[in-house]
Order: sequence, then C-alpha cells, then structure tokens
Amino acid sequence: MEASRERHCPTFYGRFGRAAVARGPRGIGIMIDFTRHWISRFMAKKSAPSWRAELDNALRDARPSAPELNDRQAAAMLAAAIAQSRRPRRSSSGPIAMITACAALVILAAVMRGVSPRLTGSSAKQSAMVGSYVRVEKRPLLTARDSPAVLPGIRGKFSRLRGPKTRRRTWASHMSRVHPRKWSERLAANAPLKLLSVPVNYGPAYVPSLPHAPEEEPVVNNSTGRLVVIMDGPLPPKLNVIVTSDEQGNSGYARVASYTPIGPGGGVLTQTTVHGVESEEGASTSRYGIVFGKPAARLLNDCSQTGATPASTEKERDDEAHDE
Amino acid sequence: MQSSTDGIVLNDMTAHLDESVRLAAARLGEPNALEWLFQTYHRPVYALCYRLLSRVDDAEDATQAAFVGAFRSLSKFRGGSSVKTWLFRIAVNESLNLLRQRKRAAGPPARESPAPDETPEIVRRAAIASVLERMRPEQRILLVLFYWEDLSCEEIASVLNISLSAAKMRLKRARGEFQAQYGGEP
Repeated sequence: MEASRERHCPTFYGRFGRAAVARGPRGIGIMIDFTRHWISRFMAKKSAPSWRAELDNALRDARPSAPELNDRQAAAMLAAAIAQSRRPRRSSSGPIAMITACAALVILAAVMRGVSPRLTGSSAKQSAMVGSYVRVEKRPLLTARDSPAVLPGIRGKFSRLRGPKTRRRTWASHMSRVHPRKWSERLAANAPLKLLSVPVNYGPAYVPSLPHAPEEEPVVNNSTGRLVVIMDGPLPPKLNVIVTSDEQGNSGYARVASYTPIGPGGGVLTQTTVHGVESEEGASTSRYGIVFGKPAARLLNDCSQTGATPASTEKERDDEAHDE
Repeated sequence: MQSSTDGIVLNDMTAHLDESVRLAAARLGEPNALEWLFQTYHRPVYALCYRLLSRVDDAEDATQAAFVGAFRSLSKFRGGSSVKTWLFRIAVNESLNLLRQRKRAAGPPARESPAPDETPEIVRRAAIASVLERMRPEQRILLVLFYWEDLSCEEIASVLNISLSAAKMRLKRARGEFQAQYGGEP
C-alpha cells in the first residue's frame, strides 16, 4: 500500500520526513511521514461535482432584471409607507382598533341585512382618528333573502352552535369570528352588491421630492372627500389607481395603500394617498375621475374642497329624497 | 499615494457617519431621512421582491410592506447587520407571506411558457424560472439570494436569521433540489 502510494503520488523528501500529495475522489490529500507512519489528511475543500459549474452558470445567466419603478410610483409608495408607518399599530392601540373593528362589524352587519348604517358619535370620531370612516349608501345594498340566516355555511354553523354560552352569543359577535375571506367568498356567491360609497380621509400630506423634475413634483391631495366605488366584480387584491383627469384635464397616479374588502363590489379604503394630481394652485373645485388599473372596475372620486363634508352631503341627499 | 488612500478612508468614514446620522434621524421619524432610506434601498429591495415573487404587482406590494415594516421597527434596529441586510430580511419575510397567500389563493402561474420558436437562451431561462417556481419558497430564496443577489453565505445567514452552517447546508440542498428538477441528476 505504502509502495503504491509512493509510486503514484508525487513525494517530497524533506528534513523531517516525507510528504506526498494525491488527488482522490473526495479531494486533495496530503500524506505526511514524520515517524515512519503515514498520516493521511484530507484538505477541507472538496472538489465540486461535475454538474455544479454548469448549474452555477445557468442560474447566474437566468437572473431576471426587475422592471424599473418610475418616479411617480416610487413617490406614491414612499408616501404610503410613511403614512402607514405613522398609524398606530394594532397591538399598541387596543381601544382604537377595537372601536374601528366594532364600526366595521356594524357596517358589515348592516350591509348584510340590507340597511344603511351610519356611524355617529364616538365611533365615527374614533374611526376618523385612524384615518378612515365609512358611510354606506342609504339604499338597500342586499336584498332580504341575502340575510345571514340563508347564507350558505353560516346557517350550518348556527345549527352547530349549541349550549348556554353560544346561545347568548349574538349574530354580530358570532360573525366577528368568521374570517374576512370567508365573508367575501360568501358575499361573492350571494350578494348583488353594486354601489358602495366610502368617504375617505386621505391622511397626512407628505410630498416626497422627486430627484429629476422638480417642476413636475406631485401634489398630494389631502382633502377629505368621497370615493365612490362602482364594481362589476370582486375588488382586485391591489388598487393601483390612475387619476385620469381633474377639471383641468391633468392626470396622475394614486395608490391605495390598504383597504378592507367587505363584499364583491366594494371595500373600506382605510388609507389613500393620491399623487400626481397637478391642479393649479388655489383650485378649489377639483373633481377627479379615478379609474382602477384593473378591468371591470371604476373608482370615481367626487371629492371636492368646497367644504361639503360627507355628513352634509348625506343631509342634502336626505332632504332631496324627502322633497321627492 | 498616501494622501489618496487617506482620502478614500476619510470618504468612507464620512459616508458611514452620514448614514449613522440619517438613520438616527429616521428613527425619530424625520421624513427626509425616511425618504433617503427609501431612495437608497428601494431598488435592490424591489428587485429582490420581484425575483422572489416573479410578479410586478406583488413585488410592489412586498416592497411597500417591507418599507412600512422597516419604518415602524427602525427603533428596534440595533445596527448588528447592515441596513441592506436588515431590509432584505424584512423583504424576504414579506415575500414569503405573499407567496403563502398566493398558494392559498392558488393563483395562475406568473410566467407564461415561451413560444416554440423562441431562442434557446429564452427557453432555458423559462425552464429555470419554471423550476424555481415549482421549488419550495424556502429553498428558492436561498438560490435567489446566492445567485441573483450575489450575497455571501454569511449575508444569507444574516438575512434568514440562521447560522452560517445552516445557510450553507440549506444552499447545498436547494442546489441539489434544483439540479434534480432541472438537470435530472441529484
């Protein structure tokens, strides 16, 4: 054995003994003979398998290049990120989150029953504090047969909920345990929801500086307005909103940072930041037509800065209805 | 020669100091500092999200969510790793969340298969992308970070919050899995 190693490996003779270097299947080995005994030691580095180099090259060559975000998109993204990061976190804002959740639940319950809720008092104030408040159109959104008792899945659950504790549980508290996705699935299967009016407070204004074209710096619309969502199908998972034109014919880009879908036709827009609406300074009656980037969906913003609040709009509408 | 070396060192120190100052300002919620952070890092973060998710819309969402998370947790960032690594970690987590949601929703495949008359290079790229799509996200992340983002094993370990040896082992397994599906050999 020793002889064969000596025969096949280049062997070096030194002052303290002999050393031989060999390449084997597991890598490069060094054999050292200090005391007339071969000590075999393999180096740590193993040789790579034969397919490795080809795989490395193939993977590196297939690196996809990400499409560039344009400045407007980046600015909208930044503004939305800053605005969202300033919101109180759910974990640290228990009372507000609870009130908001209760408000959302009231709305959901009302939408399901076909009546129109209107948040008043502290609920409305607290909801406005977190940047959004909601009013649903005062006409039946769903028919009576879409009441929760006949929705599939829910009826079965109720029949299974027996016992003193669950008997005391109200429908609203029971539905608070249902996952929102199931809500939307059930609604999508049953509800002919057509119109949902969502007043949105656009949140804090923050104008990020654009690096290249200061004259085209976007204007953040931070007024409070009413966003009307008209949908033929479910809301897309993300709302990329294109501001098609304002009164002056300007166009821009908006990004709805987050929203809560409550049905196939609408969602509660919890935070919206609109960029790129280049209206003249002092223009007080900007009306924006906003269209989703997705098909079969339109988002119209009849927001105006004339001082008409959603509440007064509601009152006017009530008065009109009464006159009729 | 000596003065130029000193200049480079001084520039590095100034840049580091500048970054520290800006980070401190960002922790206080200063909008300009947050904007600097975004402008400096949003491209690599977006590219990483796109390479992980293969969809522009999802990549935009993940990028924004990553920066929201980063801005919220800036006060917890102790500087143990580089800012880029820290942002990558958040972006990877956001991308994983999106991938899980996508799996639940069982959406359509992101990339279309190439036409038969495409060049071999495009066909090969599509095949690689297809194999990566089929792999588990935890394994795909390793390959993306190593081959496409050119991160070292140490950086990958930091991004994934695992030990160096675990990163090496997972990379080896991911490579083997990829080869098994792509080339037919382990």
